[in-house]
Amino acid sequence: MTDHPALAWRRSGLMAVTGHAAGSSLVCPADLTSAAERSLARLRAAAPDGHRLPANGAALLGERARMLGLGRHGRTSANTFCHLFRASNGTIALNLAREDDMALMPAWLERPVTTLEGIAAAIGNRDAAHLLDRGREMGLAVACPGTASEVDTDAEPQRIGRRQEPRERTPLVVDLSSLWAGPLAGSLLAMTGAQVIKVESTSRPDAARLGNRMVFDLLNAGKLSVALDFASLSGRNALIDLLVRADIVIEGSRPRALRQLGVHAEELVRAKSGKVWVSITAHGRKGEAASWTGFGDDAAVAGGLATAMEAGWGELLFAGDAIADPLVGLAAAQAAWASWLRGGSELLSLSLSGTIASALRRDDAINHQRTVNWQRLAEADTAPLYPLRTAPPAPPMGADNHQVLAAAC
Amino acid sequence: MKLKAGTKLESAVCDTQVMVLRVPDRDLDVRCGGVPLQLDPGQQEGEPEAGFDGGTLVGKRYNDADDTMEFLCTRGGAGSLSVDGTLLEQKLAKKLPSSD
Repeated sequence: MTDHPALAWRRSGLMAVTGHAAGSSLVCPADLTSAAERSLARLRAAAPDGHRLPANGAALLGERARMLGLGRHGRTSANTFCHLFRASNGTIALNLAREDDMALMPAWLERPVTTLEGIAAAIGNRDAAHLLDRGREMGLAVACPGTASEVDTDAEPQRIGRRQEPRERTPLVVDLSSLWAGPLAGSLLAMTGAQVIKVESTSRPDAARLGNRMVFDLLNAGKLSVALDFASLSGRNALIDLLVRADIVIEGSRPRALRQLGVHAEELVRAKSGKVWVSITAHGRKGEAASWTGFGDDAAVAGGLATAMEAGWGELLFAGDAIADPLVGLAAAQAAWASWLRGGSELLSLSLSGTIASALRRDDAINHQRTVNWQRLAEADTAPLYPLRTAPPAPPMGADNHQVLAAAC
Repeated sequence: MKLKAGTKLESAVCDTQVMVLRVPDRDLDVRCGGVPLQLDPGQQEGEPEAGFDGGTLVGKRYNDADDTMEFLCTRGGAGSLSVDGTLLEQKLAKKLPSSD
């Protein structure tokens, strides 16, 4: 049974990270928890070891915030990296998640700014659309608050070549992704019995290894770990070889970055009938958007979540913790498994902003009155938060190089 | 010429376009394909000189050996970037955050 969206939001731990620091914790005016439950229920119904999957989809949305002990900061994201700034004619979300993003601010704003206050002041009298274009060109994670209806959800699987007959065996999954969305999808497939190989670049490992250990283990336990030097020819050859062998590939890179490595998704799907390629991007693979970067909180703003907060609470605010990530992770695992079962030979494109937008589009009653009612319901709720998951340790990087790469010869 | 962070420059001999990300406060002779970069997109003439024809890749960042300056390639081309006669190097991809 699925809990009411207002109760699920609170019990997942997301209410505690939504709202202004000095104000009440807030419900989300849109029903996002049902989208998580729906993906998980469909995966559970289709997968052989469905009973091994997490009991509760909504709990997955809030588990990172709880493990990291995050708080709420209103117009700054729960993890404190993403900010909503007022430009002269609109609002712009900027995610400074990477260390050197701050060093790009003088070039972006054409002023010698070094602090958040300086950025806010420099953005204040500038044109939002101009800053958005310039930021995208520079590879900054920027977004303007969108509405769900404007976002291309890119959801139709792209058929490439001939399908296989529906298959009973469990797939070999190669997981090239990092951080949260892709690794979550890979870990859910591992729970359903698939063999999942996590592949990392030795010069650019999954940076989540440096973050909270419990979170990393939850997302990567149960996978084999292979580390390759993508800068060397032999490393790239080993990577291509693994991608050729894979039944399901999960990656979270911009298509251009993979092409520069010699990895062409469409060609690899065409080369092995039945293969399923899961591409997770910030804003999809179509046109210019394919080269835009983004993370969970800024992409949620682009997908319309801050706008939904405004519809409910009268002001653009963040909601949840990088919530596009776990929603995409759940949707990607479900979509990958469904594609595998129907014979594959498909490229599945899931974007962070598009997934938020589709969840918001399913909810046609995002308004102030319902939000107030939901808030009352959540504030009266005294049930404990959902239990947190635990996981055994994930393997050290490259722990399974020998076993996996020897099998290739 | 003295450059400012945020300025866009165009190659005179290929399609390369770069944005200045970081520069020291002194005159720099920034070239692409061995020919000085220009502020305004003018007519492309000639081709990259030998030794300066390795090409640039869109989306990649280029810096000098001491990392005192950095340029972002916003459009790729056939020429290579150089400053004061020395080729710039392509930087590795940005480090990802440990959580986003």
